[in-house]
Amino acid sequence: MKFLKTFGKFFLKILPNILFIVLIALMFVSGERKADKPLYFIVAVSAMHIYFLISRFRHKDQSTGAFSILYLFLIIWEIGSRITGKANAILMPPPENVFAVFYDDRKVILKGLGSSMYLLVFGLLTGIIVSIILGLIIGWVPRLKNAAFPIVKVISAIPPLIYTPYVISFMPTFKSASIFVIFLGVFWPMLMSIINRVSEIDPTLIQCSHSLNIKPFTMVTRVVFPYCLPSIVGGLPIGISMSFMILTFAELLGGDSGLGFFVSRASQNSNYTRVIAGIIIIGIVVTVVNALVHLLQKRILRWA
Amino acid sequence: MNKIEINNLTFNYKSGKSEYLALDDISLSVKQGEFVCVIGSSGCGKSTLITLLAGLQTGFTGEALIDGVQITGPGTERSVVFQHYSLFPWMSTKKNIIFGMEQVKKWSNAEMSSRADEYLKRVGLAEYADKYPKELSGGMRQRVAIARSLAVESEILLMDEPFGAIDTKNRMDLQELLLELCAKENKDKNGKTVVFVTHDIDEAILLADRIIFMEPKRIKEEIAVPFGKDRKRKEVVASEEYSVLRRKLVSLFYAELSSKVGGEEVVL
Repeated sequence: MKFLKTFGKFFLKILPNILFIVLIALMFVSGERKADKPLYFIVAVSAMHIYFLISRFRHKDQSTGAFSILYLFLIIWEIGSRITGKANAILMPPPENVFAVFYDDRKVILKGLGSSMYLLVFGLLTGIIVSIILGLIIGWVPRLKNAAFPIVKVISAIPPLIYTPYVISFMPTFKSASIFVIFLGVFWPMLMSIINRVSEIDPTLIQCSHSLNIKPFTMVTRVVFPYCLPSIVGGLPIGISMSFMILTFAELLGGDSGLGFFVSRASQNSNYTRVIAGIIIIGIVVTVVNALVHLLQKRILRWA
Repeated sequence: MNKIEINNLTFNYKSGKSEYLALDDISLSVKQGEFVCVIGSSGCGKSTLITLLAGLQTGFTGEALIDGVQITGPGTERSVVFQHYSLFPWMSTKKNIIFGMEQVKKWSNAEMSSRADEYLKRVGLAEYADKYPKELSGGMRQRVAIARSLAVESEILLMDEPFGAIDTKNRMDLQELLLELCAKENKDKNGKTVVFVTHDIDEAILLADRIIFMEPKRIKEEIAVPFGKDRKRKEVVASEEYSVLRRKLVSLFYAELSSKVGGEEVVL
């Protein structure tokens, strides 16, 4: 019994390595269909595995399960689409072809990525900055708060995807429309959470600030603002995911560049290899952005 | 002229529509350099008195004068140490002390930095300059709060049960530290005036030049404490005067208690 347990543990530990070898071996099996360029897929999977080995070396077994699942998924995909040829050839291209897109279309993808990131960062930053300034002022002045809060509450509850098509049709260019929609998508929820946070500020801190003879402006910038930072930074991941969703949606609707546009054009041309590649890239981008935000959070909130 | 002069002060707490009489016709004067402890059971209005002196509550009737001028709000000649740990959590201990000094606008940045280091050293936290409040114990945070209130060089120090939430050992350390710091300040300058609120009899006797005993809403008795500024805990506790004072204060507390229970005198 004990032997089985230790063996099971050992097996799970080396499972990603086994699956990796199986996956690589499968690529050399000639199946029902032929893949165009298997090289890029092999390179990508090898890179993944190197990352896995490094991360396991640095913080032990955390990523073992995730990599096992990932490899299993790729193996099933490989077998289903290429080796047995059971899956629909147009809707389910073999992974080799999808990964080849990353290289073949790298220029278009990078350009799209740049354009999407530009719109995203610009819309996000303006939304965050304006909502912080307005939120601090509205939250701090009771009269303003009583007037504005009910309105903010209603508007922040409207999903931005609803008015995205409308904004696109009335703004002069697609770029300005995307920025504006992202701005609105971040602005309202952020404003709402800052006003909430300001009004629940710890009264002992206020009392202490008064006893130190702090002037109103210093009060807002050096006491109320840092007090709100945790909720501002805490709302960032959701805000960013939300605005990325809005942006991709806007690009699907009426863009002429960007990752969402890349996917929508490919799907209009029924090129599902590209569609899948685009989906994977968007997933990777969101993950990377969230990881960066997480680092930023840790850096800003060392004191909390 | 007295440093603090209170004449016929009455204060009503207003919360919403209800009103509550917190202080009823109080008169009190504190001389420059005097250390006064205000003692009494909870709810007797001693904290309210500090809040009024700090200028954090206004709307009282009667006179409350600092150097002959009526209190209308907080001022740089007064600094406050609260019972709750009132450091700003996003600033390191040193930044907290500097932030207090910045509001006074008396020193350059370099001076403020070296003064902050100096006061951290005085409260025994020289190595904790870059730590955040969450990394400190309650006693340490209160040391920083004391350092901050001393660094601004105010003439009056108002302390509202500053050691109330601290364990006995640390509390004793802090009491001695406060004695030491006040003695040092008195040597350097012309004496800090301190109003210290507590409900601890021993603390009051150890620290005060004069004890103000409060019963709900008014002052019941003022008791002079016969020990000098450079007193030591051991000597104070061993002395005859200490036990006399202590007995007197205990009986005052009991008198109040028995009057609540049914008016019977408690014999000690």
